[in-house]
Amino acid sequence: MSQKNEYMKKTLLKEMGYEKKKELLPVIFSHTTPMDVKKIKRDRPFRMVDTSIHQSEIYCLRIYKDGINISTE
Amino acid sequence: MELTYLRNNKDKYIHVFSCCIPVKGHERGAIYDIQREEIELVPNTMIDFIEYIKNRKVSSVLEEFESDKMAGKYLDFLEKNEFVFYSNTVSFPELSAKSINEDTSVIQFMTITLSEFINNNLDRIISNISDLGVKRLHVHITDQDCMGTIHELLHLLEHSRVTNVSFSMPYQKIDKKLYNNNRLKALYLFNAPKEKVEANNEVTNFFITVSDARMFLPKFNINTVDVNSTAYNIAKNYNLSIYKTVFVDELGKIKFNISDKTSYGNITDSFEEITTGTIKKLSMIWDIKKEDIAPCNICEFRYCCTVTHIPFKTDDGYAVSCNYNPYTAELN
Repeated sequence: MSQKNEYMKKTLLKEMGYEKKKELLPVIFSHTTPMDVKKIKRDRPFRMVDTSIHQSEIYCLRIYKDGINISTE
Repeated sequence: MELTYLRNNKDKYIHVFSCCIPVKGHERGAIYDIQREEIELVPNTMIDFIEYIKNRKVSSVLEEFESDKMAGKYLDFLEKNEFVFYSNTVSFPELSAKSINEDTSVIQFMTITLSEFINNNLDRIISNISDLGVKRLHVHITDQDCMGTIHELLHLLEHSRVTNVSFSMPYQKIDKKLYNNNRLKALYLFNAPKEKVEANNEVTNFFITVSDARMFLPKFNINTVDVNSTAYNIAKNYNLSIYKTVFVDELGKIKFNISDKTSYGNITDSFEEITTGTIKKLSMIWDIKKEDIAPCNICEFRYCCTVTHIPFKTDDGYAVSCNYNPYTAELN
Protein backbone atom coordinates (compact mmCIF):
# COMPACT_ATOMS: atom_id res chain seq x y z
CA MET A 1 0.00 0.00 0.00
CA SER A 2 2.72 2.41 0.99
CA GLN A 3 4.69 1.51 -2.10
CA LYS A 4 1.67 2.31 -4.22
CA ASN A 5 1.21 5.63 -2.47
CA GLU A 6 4.83 6.43 -2.93
CA TYR A 7 4.56 5.62 -6.60
CA MET A 8 1.44 7.73 -7.02
CA LYS A 9 3.04 10.60 -5.20
CA LYS A 10 6.11 10.45 -7.36
CA THR A 11 4.03 10.27 -10.52
CA LEU A 12 1.90 13.15 -9.43
CA LEU A 13 4.91 15.26 -8.56
CA LYS A 14 6.46 14.41 -11.88
CA GLU A 15 3.31 15.40 -13.70
CA MET A 16 2.98 18.62 -11.80
CA GLY A 17 6.65 19.46 -11.82
CA TYR A 18 8.25 20.34 -8.53
CA GLU A 19 8.37 24.07 -9.14
CA LYS A 20 4.74 24.13 -10.10
CA LYS A 21 3.77 22.19 -6.98
CA LYS A 22 5.52 24.69 -4.76
CA GLU A 23 3.54 27.39 -6.38
CA LEU A 24 0.21 25.62 -6.24
CA LEU A 25 0.15 24.11 -2.78
CA PRO A 26 -0.35 27.20 -0.67
CA VAL A 27 -3.30 28.28 -2.81
CA ILE A 28 -5.04 24.95 -2.94
CA PHE A 29 -4.35 23.59 0.50
CA SER A 30 -3.68 26.60 2.65
CA HIS A 31 -7.07 26.35 4.29
CA THR A 32 -6.73 22.70 5.22
CA THR A 33 -3.08 21.97 5.99
CA PRO A 34 -1.40 25.27 6.67
CA MET A 35 0.67 24.17 9.65
CA ASP A 36 3.02 21.39 10.47
CA VAL A 37 0.52 18.72 11.47
CA LYS A 38 3.03 16.94 13.71
CA LYS A 39 3.30 20.04 15.81
CA ILE A 40 -0.43 20.42 16.23
CA LYS A 41 -0.98 16.82 17.28
CA ARG A 42 -1.33 16.42 21.00
CA ASP A 43 0.86 14.10 23.01
CA ARG A 44 -2.12 12.00 23.88
CA PRO A 45 -4.61 11.81 21.02
CA PHE A 46 -7.93 10.03 21.20
CA ARG A 47 -8.06 7.39 23.85
CA MET A 48 -7.44 4.04 22.25
CA VAL A 49 -10.04 1.34 22.70
CA ASP A 50 -8.69 -1.42 24.85
CA THR A 51 -9.80 -4.68 23.30
CA SER A 52 -9.45 -6.59 26.55
CA ILE A 53 -12.34 -4.63 28.02
CA HIS A 54 -15.50 -6.66 28.47
CA GLN A 55 -18.51 -6.13 26.30
CA SER A 56 -20.41 -4.85 29.33
CA GLU A 57 -17.91 -2.07 29.73
CA ILE A 58 -18.28 -0.48 26.35
CA TYR A 59 -18.41 3.28 26.46
CA CYS A 60 -22.10 3.80 27.16
CA LEU A 61 -22.15 1.44 30.14
CA ARG A 62 -18.76 2.35 31.45
CA ILE A 63 -18.41 3.53 35.03
CA TYR A 64 -17.83 7.27 34.98
CA LYS A 65 -15.89 7.48 38.24
CA ASP A 66 -14.12 5.04 40.49
CA GLY A 67 -16.34 5.95 43.43
CA ILE A 68 -14.07 4.34 45.99
CA ASN A 69 -11.50 7.04 46.79
CA ILE A 70 -8.77 4.71 47.98
CA SER A 71 -5.75 6.64 49.15
CA THR A 72 -2.59 4.65 48.47
CA GLU A 73 -0.14 7.13 49.98
CA MET B 1 2.54 30.29 9.93
CA GLU B 2 -0.24 30.37 12.53
CA LEU B 3 -1.07 33.90 11.60
CA THR B 4 -1.39 32.89 7.95
CA TYR B 5 -3.84 30.20 9.00
CA LEU B 6 -5.86 32.69 10.98
CA ARG B 7 -5.87 35.20 8.15
CA ASN B 8 -7.09 32.51 5.77
CA ASN B 9 -10.00 31.96 8.13
CA LYS B 10 -10.70 35.61 8.76
CA ASP B 11 -14.24 35.49 7.43
CA LYS B 12 -15.18 32.59 9.64
CA TYR B 13 -16.53 32.52 13.17
CA ILE B 14 -14.64 31.27 16.22
CA HIS B 15 -16.42 28.45 18.01
CA VAL B 16 -15.57 26.52 21.14
CA PHE B 17 -16.18 22.77 20.81
CA SER B 18 -19.27 21.96 22.89
CA CYS B 19 -17.35 19.12 24.54
CA CYS B 20 -14.65 21.54 25.72
CA ILE B 21 -15.81 23.21 28.90
CA PRO B 22 -13.99 26.29 30.18
CA VAL B 23 -14.28 26.48 33.98
CA LYS B 24 -13.13 29.52 35.91
CA GLY B 25 -11.59 29.02 39.32
CA HIS B 26 -10.38 31.49 41.90
CA GLU B 27 -6.66 31.24 41.28
CA ARG B 28 -6.66 29.53 37.89
CA GLY B 29 -9.06 28.05 35.40
CA ALA B 30 -9.37 24.74 33.60
CA ILE B 31 -10.63 23.55 30.25
CA TYR B 32 -12.24 20.13 30.39
CA ASP B 33 -12.14 18.12 27.20
CA ILE B 34 -14.91 15.73 28.19
CA GLN B 35 -14.68 13.77 24.96
CA ARG B 36 -10.95 13.11 25.11
CA GLU B 37 -11.14 12.94 28.90
CA GLU B 38 -8.39 15.44 29.48
CA ILE B 39 -8.05 18.56 31.54
CA GLU B 40 -5.85 21.58 30.83
CA LEU B 41 -5.11 23.98 33.65
CA VAL B 42 -5.03 27.49 32.28
CA PRO B 43 -4.93 31.07 33.59
CA ASN B 44 -8.33 32.58 34.36
CA THR B 45 -7.67 35.25 31.78
CA MET B 46 -7.82 32.56 29.13
CA ILE B 47 -11.31 31.58 30.27
CA ASP B 48 -12.33 35.24 29.99
CA PHE B 49 -10.69 35.39 26.58
CA ILE B 50 -12.66 32.34 25.38
CA GLU B 51 -15.91 33.91 26.55
CA TYR B 52 -14.97 37.14 24.81
CA ILE B 53 -14.00 35.70 21.43
CA LYS B 54 -16.50 32.89 21.04
CA ASN B 55 -18.99 33.24 18.19
CA ARG B 56 -17.08 36.30 16.94
CA LYS B 57 -15.52 36.70 13.52
CA VAL B 58 -11.81 35.88 13.29
CA SER B 59 -11.17 39.17 11.48
CA SER B 60 -12.72 41.23 14.25
CA VAL B 61 -10.67 39.42 16.93
CA LEU B 62 -7.46 39.76 14.91
CA GLU B 63 -8.09 43.45 14.44
CA GLU B 64 -8.85 44.10 18.08
CA PHE B 65 -5.82 42.18 19.39
CA GLU B 66 -3.43 43.13 16.60
CA SER B 67 -0.82 44.51 18.94
CA ASP B 68 -1.41 42.02 21.74
CA LYS B 69 1.10 39.18 21.59
CA MET B 70 -0.48 37.28 24.45
CA ALA B 71 -3.87 37.15 22.74
CA GLY B 72 -2.14 35.60 19.74
CA LYS B 73 -0.52 33.02 22.00
CA TYR B 74 -3.84 32.22 23.63
CA LEU B 75 -5.56 31.75 20.30
CA ASP B 76 -2.71 29.58 19.11
CA PHE B 77 -2.96 27.43 22.23
CA LEU B 78 -6.73 27.05 21.92
CA GLU B 79 -6.42 26.11 18.28
CA LYS B 80 -3.54 23.65 18.71
CA ASN B 81 -5.28 21.89 21.56
CA GLU B 82 -8.41 21.78 19.45
CA PHE B 83 -10.56 23.66 21.92
CA VAL B 84 -11.72 26.08 19.22
CA PHE B 85 -12.49 25.78 15.54
CA TYR B 86 -13.44 28.16 12.76
CA SER B 87 -16.60 27.84 10.73
CA ASN B 88 -18.81 29.77 8.36
CA THR B 89 -21.79 28.72 10.46
CA VAL B 90 -22.75 31.47 12.85
CA SER B 91 -23.78 29.36 15.80
CA PHE B 92 -23.61 25.81 17.12
CA PRO B 93 -25.72 24.46 19.98
CA GLU B 94 -24.11 24.10 23.38
CA LEU B 95 -24.38 20.95 25.46
CA SER B 96 -27.76 20.60 27.06
CA ALA B 97 -27.72 21.40 30.78
CA LYS B 98 -29.54 18.18 31.55
CA SER B 99 -28.34 15.52 29.17
CA ILE B 100 -27.91 12.56 31.46
CA ASN B 101 -28.52 9.09 30.26
CA GLU B 102 -29.71 8.35 33.77
CA ASP B 103 -28.56 5.11 35.23
CA THR B 104 -31.21 2.79 36.59
CA SER B 105 -29.17 1.93 39.69
CA VAL B 106 -30.43 3.20 43.04
CA ILE B 107 -26.87 3.02 44.38
CA GLN B 108 -24.05 2.70 41.90
CA PHE B 109 -20.85 2.76 43.97
CA MET B 110 -20.43 0.90 47.24
CA THR B 111 -17.52 0.29 49.59
CA ILE B 112 -18.19 -2.30 52.28
CA THR B 113 -16.07 -3.29 55.27
CA LEU B 114 -16.21 -7.01 55.92
CA SER B 115 -16.86 -8.05 59.55
CA GLU B 116 -18.51 -10.80 61.55
CA PHE B 117 -21.79 -8.89 61.38
CA ILE B 118 -21.56 -8.52 57.59
CA ASN B 119 -20.60 -12.21 57.21
CA ASN B 120 -23.58 -13.31 59.31
CA ASN B 121 -25.95 -11.34 57.07
CA LEU B 122 -24.24 -11.95 53.77
CA ASP B 123 -27.21 -13.37 51.87
CA ARG B 124 -29.42 -10.40 52.68
CA ILE B 125 -26.61 -7.95 51.89
CA ILE B 126 -25.76 -9.52 48.53
CA SER B 127 -29.46 -9.52 47.65
CA ASN B 128 -29.66 -5.78 48.52
CA ILE B 129 -26.48 -5.02 46.54
CA SER B 130 -28.02 -6.72 43.56
CA ASP B 131 -31.46 -5.10 43.90
CA LEU B 132 -29.97 -1.64 44.43
CA GLY B 133 -28.09 -2.07 41.16
CA VAL B 134 -24.60 -1.53 42.55
CA LYS B 135 -22.17 -1.59 39.62
CA ARG B 136 -18.89 -0.82 41.34
CA LEU B 137 -18.22 -2.65 44.59
CA HIS B 138 -15.20 -2.48 46.83
CA VAL B 139 -14.78 -4.86 49.78
CA HIS B 140 -12.33 -4.10 52.57
CA ILE B 141 -11.04 -7.16 54.43
CA THR B 142 -8.72 -7.25 57.46
CA ASP B 143 -8.24 -11.03 57.52
CA GLN B 144 -4.61 -12.12 57.01
CA ASP B 145 -5.72 -15.08 54.91
CA CYS B 146 -8.82 -14.15 52.91
CA MET B 147 -8.46 -15.87 49.53
CA GLY B 148 -11.30 -18.27 50.36
CA THR B 149 -13.56 -15.39 51.40
CA ILE B 150 -12.86 -13.56 48.15
CA HIS B 151 -13.70 -16.65 46.09
CA GLU B 152 -16.94 -17.06 48.05
CA LEU B 153 -17.92 -13.41 47.61
CA LEU B 154 -17.21 -13.49 43.88
CA HIS B 155 -19.33 -16.63 43.63
CA LEU B 156 -22.22 -14.94 45.48
CA LEU B 157 -22.02 -11.95 43.13
CA GLU B 158 -22.29 -14.16 40.06
CA HIS B 159 -25.88 -13.18 39.26
CA SER B 160 -25.66 -9.61 40.50
CA ARG B 161 -25.50 -6.39 38.47
CA VAL B 162 -22.02 -5.65 39.80
CA THR B 163 -19.58 -5.31 36.90
CA ASN B 164 -16.51 -4.05 38.72
CA VAL B 165 -15.23 -5.47 42.02
CA SER B 166 -12.09 -4.70 43.96
CA PHE B 167 -10.76 -5.85 47.33
CA SER B 168 -8.35 -4.37 49.85
CA MET B 169 -6.61 -6.73 52.27
CA PRO B 170 -3.41 -7.19 54.29
CA TYR B 171 -0.37 -8.27 52.28
CA GLN B 172 -0.60 -12.00 51.55
CA LYS B 173 -0.13 -14.61 48.83
CA ILE B 174 -2.68 -14.17 46.07
CA ASP B 175 -4.50 -17.15 44.61
CA LYS B 176 -3.88 -16.90 40.85
CA LYS B 177 -7.29 -18.43 40.10
CA LEU B 178 -8.77 -15.03 41.04
CA TYR B 179 -7.33 -13.53 37.86
CA ASN B 180 -9.83 -15.52 35.79
CA ASN B 181 -12.81 -13.74 37.32
CA ASN B 182 -14.20 -11.18 34.90
CA ARG B 183 -15.72 -8.97 37.58
CA LEU B 184 -12.54 -8.60 39.57
CA LYS B 185 -10.59 -5.50 38.55
CA ALA B 186 -8.24 -4.62 41.40
CA LEU B 187 -6.62 -5.92 44.57
CA TYR B 188 -5.11 -3.47 47.06
CA LEU B 189 -2.62 -5.09 49.42
CA PHE B 190 -1.69 -2.86 52.32
CA ASN B 191 1.27 -3.38 54.72
CA ALA B 192 3.25 -4.68 51.74
CA PRO B 193 7.07 -4.76 52.04
CA LYS B 194 7.53 -2.95 48.73
CA GLU B 195 5.42 -0.58 46.70
CA LYS B 196 4.54 -1.89 43.26
CA VAL B 197 1.76 -2.26 40.72
CA GLU B 198 1.30 -5.38 38.64
CA ALA B 199 -1.26 -6.40 36.05
CA ASN B 200 -2.54 -9.94 35.67
CA ASN B 201 -5.17 -10.42 32.97
CA GLU B 202 -7.58 -7.63 33.82
CA VAL B 203 -6.76 -7.53 37.50
CA THR B 204 -4.38 -4.87 38.76
CA ASN B 205 -2.60 -5.52 42.04
CA PHE B 206 -1.57 -2.47 44.04
CA PHE B 207 0.98 -3.20 46.73
CA ILE B 208 0.91 -0.41 49.32
CA THR B 209 3.47 -0.07 52.07
CA VAL B 210 1.19 1.87 54.42
CA SER B 211 -1.53 0.42 56.66
CA ASP B 212 -5.26 0.71 56.05
CA ALA B 213 -5.71 3.35 58.77
CA ARG B 214 -6.08 6.28 56.36
CA MET B 215 -7.05 4.34 53.29
CA PHE B 216 -10.63 5.53 52.98
CA LEU B 217 -10.22 9.06 54.29
CA PRO B 218 -11.40 11.44 51.57
CA LYS B 219 -8.40 13.16 50.03
CA PHE B 220 -8.10 15.16 46.85
CA ASN B 221 -5.45 14.00 44.40
CA ILE B 222 -5.13 13.44 40.69
CA ASN B 223 -6.86 10.04 40.95
CA THR B 224 -10.01 11.66 42.26
CA VAL B 225 -10.40 13.80 39.14
CA ASP B 226 -12.71 12.23 36.56
CA VAL B 227 -13.16 14.14 33.34
CA ASN B 228 -15.78 12.61 31.06
CA SER B 229 -19.19 13.51 29.70
CA THR B 230 -21.24 11.47 32.21
CA ALA B 231 -19.30 12.81 35.18
CA TYR B 232 -19.74 16.36 33.88
CA ASN B 233 -23.46 15.90 33.39
CA ILE B 234 -23.86 14.44 36.87
CA ALA B 235 -21.79 17.30 38.33
CA LYS B 236 -24.00 19.89 36.63
CA ASN B 237 -27.09 18.41 38.22
CA TYR B 238 -25.97 16.69 41.43
CA ASN B 239 -22.98 16.38 43.73
CA LEU B 240 -20.68 14.20 41.62
CA SER B 241 -18.62 13.10 44.63
CA ILE B 242 -21.41 11.46 46.57
CA TYR B 243 -24.10 10.83 43.96
CA LYS B 244 -25.28 7.22 44.35
CA THR B 245 -22.09 6.53 46.31
CA VAL B 246 -22.06 4.93 49.77
CA PHE B 247 -19.75 3.51 52.39
CA VAL B 248 -20.99 0.59 54.50
CA ASP B 249 -19.15 0.14 57.80
CA GLU B 250 -18.56 -3.10 59.76
CA LEU B 251 -21.94 -2.70 61.50
CA GLY B 252 -23.72 -2.38 58.17
CA LYS B 253 -24.41 1.35 58.61
CA ILE B 254 -24.87 3.17 55.31
CA LYS B 255 -22.88 6.42 55.21
CA PHE B 256 -21.19 8.59 52.61
CA ASN B 257 -17.64 8.00 53.81
CA ILE B 258 -15.69 6.37 56.62
CA SER B 259 -15.70 9.48 58.81
CA ASP B 260 -19.41 10.21 58.33
CA LYS B 261 -21.11 10.43 61.76
CA THR B 262 -24.59 9.98 60.31
CA SER B 263 -26.08 6.60 59.58
CA TYR B 264 -28.67 6.82 56.85
CA GLY B 265 -29.84 3.24 57.28
CA ASN B 266 -28.47 -0.29 57.42
CA ILE B 267 -27.48 -2.54 54.55
CA THR B 268 -29.37 -5.38 56.26
CA ASP B 269 -32.65 -3.39 56.14
CA SER B 270 -35.27 -4.51 53.66
CA PHE B 271 -34.96 -3.25 50.08
CA GLU B 272 -38.16 -1.22 50.58
CA GLU B 273 -36.81 0.41 53.73
CA ILE B 274 -33.62 1.37 51.92
CA THR B 275 -35.33 2.76 48.83
CA THR B 276 -37.98 4.70 50.73
CA GLY B 277 -36.04 5.82 53.82
CA THR B 278 -32.29 5.67 53.27
CA ILE B 279 -32.21 6.86 49.67
CA LYS B 280 -34.52 9.76 50.46
CA LYS B 281 -32.11 10.98 53.16
CA LEU B 282 -29.01 10.36 51.03
CA SER B 283 -30.44 12.13 48.01
CA MET B 284 -31.12 15.27 50.04
CA ILE B 285 -27.34 15.52 50.48
CA TRP B 286 -26.26 14.44 46.99
CA ASP B 287 -28.65 17.00 45.52
CA ILE B 288 -26.43 19.76 46.94
CA LYS B 289 -24.30 20.74 43.96
CA LYS B 290 -20.70 21.89 44.25
CA GLU B 291 -21.85 25.29 43.01
CA ASP B 292 -23.61 25.72 46.37
CA ILE B 293 -20.70 24.50 48.51
CA ALA B 294 -17.71 26.58 49.65
CA PRO B 295 -14.95 26.49 48.54
CA CYS B 296 -15.97 24.06 45.74
CA ASN B 297 -17.95 26.86 44.11
CA ILE B 298 -14.75 28.69 43.22
CA CYS B 299 -12.69 25.58 42.47
CA GLU B 300 -11.63 24.75 38.91
CA PHE B 301 -12.24 21.05 39.61
CA ARG B 302 -15.88 21.48 40.67
CA TYR B 303 -17.26 19.54 37.70
CA CYS B 304 -14.79 16.65 37.84
CA CYS B 305 -13.87 16.15 41.50
CA THR B 306 -15.02 12.86 43.04
CA VAL B 307 -13.62 13.13 46.58
CA THR B 308 -16.38 12.01 48.92
CA HIS B 309 -16.51 15.13 51.08
CA ILE B 310 -19.84 15.62 52.80
CA PRO B 311 -21.15 19.18 52.79
CA PHE B 312 -22.07 20.62 56.19
CA LYS B 313 -24.43 23.51 56.86
CA THR B 314 -22.99 26.94 57.55
CA ASP B 315 -24.64 30.31 58.22
CA ASP B 316 -24.70 31.17 54.54
CA GLY B 317 -24.97 27.82 52.78
CA TYR B 318 -22.82 24.70 52.72
CA ALA B 319 -19.10 24.02 53.07
CA VAL B 320 -16.56 21.20 52.99
CA SER B 321 -13.11 20.95 54.41
CA CYS B 322 -10.81 19.95 51.55
CA ASN B 323 -7.06 19.38 51.32
CA TYR B 324 -6.99 21.30 48.03
CA ASN B 325 -7.10 25.04 48.43
CA PRO B 326 -8.57 26.64 45.31
CA TYR B 327 -7.68 30.12 46.58
CA THR B 328 -3.99 29.34 46.22
CA ALA B 329 -4.21 26.30 43.89
CA GLU B 330 -2.15 24.32 46.39
CA LEU B 331 -2.55 21.05 48.22
CA ASN B 332 -2.47 21.39 51.99
